[in-house]
Amino acid sequence: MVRYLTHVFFQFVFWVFILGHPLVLKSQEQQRYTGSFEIGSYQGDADYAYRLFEADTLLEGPFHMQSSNLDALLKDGDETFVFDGSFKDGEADGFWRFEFGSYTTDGNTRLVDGQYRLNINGTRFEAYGVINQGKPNGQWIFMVNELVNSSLQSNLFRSVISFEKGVPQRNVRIENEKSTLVGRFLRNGLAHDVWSRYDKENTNTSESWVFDEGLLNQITYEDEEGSTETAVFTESQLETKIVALNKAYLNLLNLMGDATVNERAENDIAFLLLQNHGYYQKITDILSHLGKTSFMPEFRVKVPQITKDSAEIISLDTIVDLYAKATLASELLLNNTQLQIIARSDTEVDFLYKALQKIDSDFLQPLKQLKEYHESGITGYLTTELLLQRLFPNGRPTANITVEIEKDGVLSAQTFTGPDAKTYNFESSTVTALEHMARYAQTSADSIASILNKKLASEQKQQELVELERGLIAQIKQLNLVIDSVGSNLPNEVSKTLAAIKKFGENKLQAYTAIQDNDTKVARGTELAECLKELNRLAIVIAGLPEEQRQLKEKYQDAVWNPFMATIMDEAVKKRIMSAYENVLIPYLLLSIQSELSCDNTPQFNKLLEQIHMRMYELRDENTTKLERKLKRERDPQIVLGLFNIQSKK
Amino acid sequence: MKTLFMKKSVWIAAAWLCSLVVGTAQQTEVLPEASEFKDPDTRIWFNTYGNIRISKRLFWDAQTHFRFKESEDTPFIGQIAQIYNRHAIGYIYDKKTNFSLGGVMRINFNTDEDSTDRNVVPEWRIWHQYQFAMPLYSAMIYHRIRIEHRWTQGFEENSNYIFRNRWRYMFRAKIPLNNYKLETNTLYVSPEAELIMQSGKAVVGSVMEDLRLTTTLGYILTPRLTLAGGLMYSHGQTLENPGVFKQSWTVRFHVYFSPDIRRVKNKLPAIHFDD
Repeated sequence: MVRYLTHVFFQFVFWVFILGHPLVLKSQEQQRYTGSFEIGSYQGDADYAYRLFEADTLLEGPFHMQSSNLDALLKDGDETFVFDGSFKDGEADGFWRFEFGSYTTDGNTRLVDGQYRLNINGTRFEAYGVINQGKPNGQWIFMVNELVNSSLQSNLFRSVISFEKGVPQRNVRIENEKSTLVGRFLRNGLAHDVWSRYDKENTNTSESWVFDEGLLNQITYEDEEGSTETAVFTESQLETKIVALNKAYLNLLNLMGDATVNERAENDIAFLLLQNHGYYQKITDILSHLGKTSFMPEFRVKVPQITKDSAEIISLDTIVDLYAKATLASELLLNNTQLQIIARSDTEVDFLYKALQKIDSDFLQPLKQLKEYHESGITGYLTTELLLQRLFPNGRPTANITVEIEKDGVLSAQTFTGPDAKTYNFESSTVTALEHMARYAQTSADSIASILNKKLASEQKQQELVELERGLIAQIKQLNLVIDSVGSNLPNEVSKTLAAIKKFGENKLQAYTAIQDNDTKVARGTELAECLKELNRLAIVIAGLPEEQRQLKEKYQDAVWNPFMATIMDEAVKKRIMSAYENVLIPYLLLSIQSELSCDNTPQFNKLLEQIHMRMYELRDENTTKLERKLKRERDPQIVLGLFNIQSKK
Repeated sequence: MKTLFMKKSVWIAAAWLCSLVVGTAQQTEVLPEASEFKDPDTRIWFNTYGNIRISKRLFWDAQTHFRFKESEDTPFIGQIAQIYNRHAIGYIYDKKTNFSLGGVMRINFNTDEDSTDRNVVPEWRIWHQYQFAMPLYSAMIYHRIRIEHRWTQGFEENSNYIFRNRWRYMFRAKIPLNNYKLETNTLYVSPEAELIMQSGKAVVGSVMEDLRLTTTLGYILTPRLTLAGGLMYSHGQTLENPGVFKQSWTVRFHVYFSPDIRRVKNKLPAIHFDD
């Protein structure tokens, strides 16, 4: 008994151990994909593990993807990449390495140990480090190297930053081929203390940013001529806010500082930070396509906040909205080549086009900048005075927009004034001035657009009309050609009918040419084109009637053997049907066309003729004994049409 | 039967030739020294020709002729001389060849105003015919061989039937005048020549019964109806005396009709005889 219980117990333990082991559980559900794969704009071959979780694919386990193309390399050069890492619960986790190459080759190959070797030239960007729960953790190294003949030539960029769960820690080192930046972060990720940049070529030149727990107090720039110190955010300013050290922040610094900051942009601290930020962004973008990973680390700084009242914030939103509306109206017109052509001959268009250009450059371009600032969130840290100053370095625009236009070879200045110009005030130092500008630009652009659009429409109508009339002339020519080329040996009624069609067409064209108004002309001309098309069709059918009849008669014949002649002779059959066609329907139609032809009934005549001929061909093969009996002595075309089973409108 | 007639007629023809060459002395009393030609009669014939299709290969050949002969009282149109009913069943071998076999019942009227004999006597024939057509350019040429076995009697009371065979060959052409072929609405001219030979016990020397030379002008109204009219000159030996020839001028009017009484579905295809 004890032995049995012991046995059961061990069996139980064994199975629980086997089935309950986490590896077993995982391996049961894990799947693997190998094949072509796409991440954003990267296309390549991937090999990764995943599992299905509530119908979603959750990456789990190793991930590998790469792309390299020998043909491309040999031809124009190859853009390669390799992503290597692993996931846990759909988040990047573990050691990751990214490599991007842009290579060319001279094509010289060597055979080494049974392998072809090919040297490459180009640049290689590598980034590697550990990711913990989607965030960089520990030291991350980013570097860009230049390769010549597959060996390292020079280091173009290198950044070494340590993280703890996505928050940068301690020392930072970023360098490119020109300078080296050294700085440090507090444990909470705020930039702190002195960030210094040393120029590699010119040891006398240096730049340093002094942070105090994230708040940039001062920028010092030093070279042979001495040092320049610029105060940025002073302690006296009260409220501060923690923001990311990103492009928007660097933009804000640009706006805060004086213009000289821009001039040094090529290799200053801001540039290095931007460069670094760009590389981190590249990795973030890739990982964000693969599930919930949000890689971008939090480089943090503090910015003093300028209190803006809600009216001002609403005003800024309104400006952005007005700017969008104004651009919508102006951009299409400014890029319209047709309008540029019209402007050459129409001074009003020329004037308005130039005015619109000036509105674009004086109002809309600065507003575009404002929109960018607003959207990147930095307007909250700038005073309105500074903003106005930066947006309009050459002074604010006025409501009178003066442009130079050329008239009869003489240049003259002409001024455009938008609607209700006097009600706007651009000179105040509040956001209202900007809003006024935006509103004025929008209403002015709108009023110009409405005039120019009308001009464009009228020009297009004119073009349309020219095209339409060219078509009409071609059609009437074609009609006359059809009628004049049929020869003189047509049956009298056919000739008379053709003459009637020709006359009708010409009368219609004459009536059309008498119309003055362009809008009416377009409408009537379109109708007339359709009418002439139908008339052409009718003329062709009528001119072809003798031939059609000849063919029908041929069809309405049987070959009969004549015993007296011992020859085969054609015998007319179903003579009553043929007679009804020849002596009732066709004369009736010809007379109707001669007396009643109109644009409205031409299609009906066409249709009727087509139906009659189709029916004649059908009747030849049908059993028509009854019909023939009914047709005896029937002279009424309507009744004949009824007997033929043809619907006539009249 | 036919071969028997043939043999007989060949023998008779040969005998006749011999009699002409050798035995003239025997008949010098009867034969004139030179051929004598009687004054020509004038006659008017109204002939109808029916060709009624009864099946794919067979047709009913139905002819009725009304023949008038001049008399002293009515010089030109004359009086009715014969009513002639010819019927046969024809077989269409192909488009250009057909054969017929049938009978004739002819009613002969006595046109001799002075005669006191019977006015009307019947005449019977059995006939068969072989007709061949040949196209020649736009025209058609026809060869017709017609053989008749004929029983006739005179107008005298109680006269006996005499039996003769007739051997007829006709050559005819039909030439379209206003068209390139014979078809509806075509006017044509038709020259024809027919030689009628005869044989039989009663025929002693007059083997050439008739030589008919005709020219006809015809018009094809439809493939089923043709009208024609013409003038015929004919002459031949009288039965009584081979040295005496009768002559005649005949105005002939013809109606040719060829209805098809078959059902529509049987008519098709109308021209294919070979399938």
